Amino acid sequence: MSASAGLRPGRYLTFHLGSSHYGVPIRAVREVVRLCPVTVVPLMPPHVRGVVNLRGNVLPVFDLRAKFGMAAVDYSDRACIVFFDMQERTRHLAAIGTIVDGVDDVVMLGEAQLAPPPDFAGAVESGYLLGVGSTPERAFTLLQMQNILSTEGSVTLPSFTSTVAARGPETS
Amino acid sequence: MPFHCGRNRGKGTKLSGGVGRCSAMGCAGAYRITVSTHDELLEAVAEVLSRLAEELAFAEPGSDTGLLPVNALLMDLEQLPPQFLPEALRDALRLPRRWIDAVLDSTATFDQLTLQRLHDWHGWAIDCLMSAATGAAAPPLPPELEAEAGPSSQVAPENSESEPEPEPEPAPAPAPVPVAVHTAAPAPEQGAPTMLLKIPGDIELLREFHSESLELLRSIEQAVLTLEQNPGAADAVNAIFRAFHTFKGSAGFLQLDALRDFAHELESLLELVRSGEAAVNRAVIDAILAGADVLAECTRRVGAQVSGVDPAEPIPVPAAGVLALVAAALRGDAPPEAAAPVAVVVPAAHSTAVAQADVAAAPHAPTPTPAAKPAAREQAVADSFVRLDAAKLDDLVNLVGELVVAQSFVLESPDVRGSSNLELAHAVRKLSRITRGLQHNALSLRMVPVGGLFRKMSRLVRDVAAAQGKQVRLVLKGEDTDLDRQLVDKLGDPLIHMIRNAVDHGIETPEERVAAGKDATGTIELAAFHRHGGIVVRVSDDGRGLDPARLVAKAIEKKLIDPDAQPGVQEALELIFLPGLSTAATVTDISGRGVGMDVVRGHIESLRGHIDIASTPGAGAGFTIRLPLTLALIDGLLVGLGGQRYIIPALSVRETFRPRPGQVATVHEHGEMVEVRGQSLPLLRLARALQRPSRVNTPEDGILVIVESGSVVVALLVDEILGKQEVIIKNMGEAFAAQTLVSGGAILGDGSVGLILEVESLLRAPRAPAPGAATRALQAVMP
Repeated sequence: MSASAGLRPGRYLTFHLGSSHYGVPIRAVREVVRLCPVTVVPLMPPHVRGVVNLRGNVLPVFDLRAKFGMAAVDYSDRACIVFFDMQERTRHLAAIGTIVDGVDDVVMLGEAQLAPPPDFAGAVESGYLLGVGSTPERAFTLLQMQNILSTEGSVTLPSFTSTVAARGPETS
Repeated sequence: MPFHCGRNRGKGTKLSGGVGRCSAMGCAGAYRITVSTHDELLEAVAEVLSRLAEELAFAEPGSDTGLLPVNALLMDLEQLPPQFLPEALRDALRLPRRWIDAVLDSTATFDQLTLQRLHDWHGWAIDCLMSAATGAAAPPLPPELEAEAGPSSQVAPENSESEPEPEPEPAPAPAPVPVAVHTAAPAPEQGAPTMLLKIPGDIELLREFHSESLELLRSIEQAVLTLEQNPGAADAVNAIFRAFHTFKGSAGFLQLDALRDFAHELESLLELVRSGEAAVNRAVIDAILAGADVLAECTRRVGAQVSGVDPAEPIPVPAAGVLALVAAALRGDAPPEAAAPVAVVVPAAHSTAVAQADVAAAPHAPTPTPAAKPAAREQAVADSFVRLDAAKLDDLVNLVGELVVAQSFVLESPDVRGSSNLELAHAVRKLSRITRGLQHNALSLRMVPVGGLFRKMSRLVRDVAAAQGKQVRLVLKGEDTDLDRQLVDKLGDPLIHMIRNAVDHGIETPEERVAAGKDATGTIELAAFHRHGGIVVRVSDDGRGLDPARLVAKAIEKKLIDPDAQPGVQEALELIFLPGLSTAATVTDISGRGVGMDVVRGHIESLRGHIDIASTPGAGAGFTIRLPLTLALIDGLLVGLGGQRYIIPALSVRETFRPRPGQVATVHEHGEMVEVRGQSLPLLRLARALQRPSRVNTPEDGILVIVESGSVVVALLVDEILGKQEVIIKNMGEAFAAQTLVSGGAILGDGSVGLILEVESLLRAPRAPAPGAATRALQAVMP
């Protein structure tokens, strides 16, 4: 179960793209900033937006919608850039920012609120998913962002959270 | 000889490592066909031995670099038909074979002892060959070579000092006098006096001793090079004397008696020279170099033990061989300079007899000594230097860079600009002035004169020339030119490549030169100077030059260019930078080693520099490297395109202007061209190259930036020019590793990021005449 090895109780940052909700372990998040003008780097794949200045560092910004193959939207003023620490992956690249529609919350998830990814999720093997987390309000896909961001090109995620959400939290 | 080549050795080794082997293997066969007379036979052997010397010079303990080439050369010797080799030499081949096999069989690396033995054996083999050439009896094999065994060998080194035995009395012409001495010279000397470091008691002092010694060794090397140019240079003699004296003092203080005594002997030699009792000649210089080698080795071992790399054990001071050289030097004072060259061996280079003659002949060339003055200058200011951690310096430079950007934030803020407060305006101006000064100062802290790097090349030229039997004089110019330390560090490898190439391929043998009506001694000039806010380093030689026609032929043969291509002379010369052309091919067919100029260009471009080539057949070739002053900052032209800002390195910009109506014309199959002072330049729309929007439709609405890279000049069409700015280059990370048109990002005054354009790849990208074709062309650019 290497895919869900990182699935531990703790704080998770939750955000959304359209109606899909996601969560990431808070330790993987370096910083969240309001969406600012991004300097477009030409001739890059669509999911690579460009670069921004984060306190004196020039950091790449990815478009997470494009990365997940979702349709582009005009980002509202709720849109944010979430910077993920990439240090474990690469020595040179300190962090990568990803644009999300909006950041929701930081939630504390206990053992009972965490579940491994469902079997039918083909993305388990690729290490993109940590599992599923749930709060009384909703369920969300827990992402292994480092793996997603270090994969070239786009990444397809199975949409199963709606299934989970329909069933409701398994323990409550 | 770890002391001379120092840092450069690593790369030098690589060069000689790979190539030596192929040339050596290729040659063995050739001898059989072409060689006929007795002398030619010996010459063939001498050549293999000379290659062996070259490989050995670059081999070092603890590494297996050079192992395979040495083995291959040995096999060449072994496979020569028996009549090629003097009997004694043929017989003695078993020794190096055994040593090399021992290394090959054990997956071990070269150790000090094996290398020393190989060096000594080589020295002896040369003697042997020389005796054969003159019909004399072969010198006896040095006993310590025969006496293979372990450390408890029966050799009594102190004896060899008092009486360098094989000194034939009547000395027929090429008397192998000091040669024989040398053979025993830096020998392993199992019985050598040793010293034991007091670790941990003295560790701090030893650390200081180590770093101090490194400096002393450097100053000795410099002074020796000066001395070679000008044997009368009293400054140099004094510098060496002082260095040995300091060695003696420090060693005595640390109770390293063996080292102290050794340094004392060297000091005494210099004292005699200083007082005029001994003249500076080849033998004295050799003794100094050999002495410095021993000191360097001891210093290295001290360093290794202090840093815990080596276990604490007694360090031998193999003094005897050097002292024998010293004795010989003092005695050999009598023989006139004329006799000396043939007999003297350059201990460091371990080169052939032919080479020695040339090297020894070189010093009498009436060259003024440009090195003497800087040496004196360095001595004068030596006391006011502060040693500090390079990383701290880098931090400072980076922080100051941030300060400059933060300062311009304040300056450009609308509140400050819109303020009518005179006091504030005054304070802001002052802040700005101080920041500028600080930035300039911080950057200059990291600047070092390029002379140190240049002088290392002197040694390289000396060694390579000696090994090849060439006479080469290295002329240094602009050694005071300051350059960012990081750049100096990274410039070393390309320079080594180019200098080696110049000696290897450029400079002809003395005979060829004389036949061509040139001075028998070739000249390589290494010059540095400032130009256009950058620095220019030029390597030029007065050798045979490059043959454009052969380069073209080679490139066609290697299928690097279209067989029907008819490049102009300059284009043909630039073929040398193509990968695959010079690495394997032998452009000049001298030694079978063409060093990849594509690698050199890659190096230079990674430093954001350019390299150009010029050559006149028969009169020499020259490479001109243009570099920015520093790697941290870039002087850039800020241009706007479709609302975004880009930075073009100012070093690549020739001029900017708004084209007049009619100045731009579309030429069939060439796309848009612009006429600039009679020159027709291709126009490249930046928007099209980057596939970004632009608010300019016709060139007349925009601005043309004439950029150049090498010999390629292009007019770049941008929307507007926003100014000139010094920016700090920020690496954008691996996500953009495939992005070849942008070399980095820079934080601009308002906090947003501007992209720094990589002019080199922009200009080399295929240009697209029609918008439709642009995509295809660009796809070709993107890996």
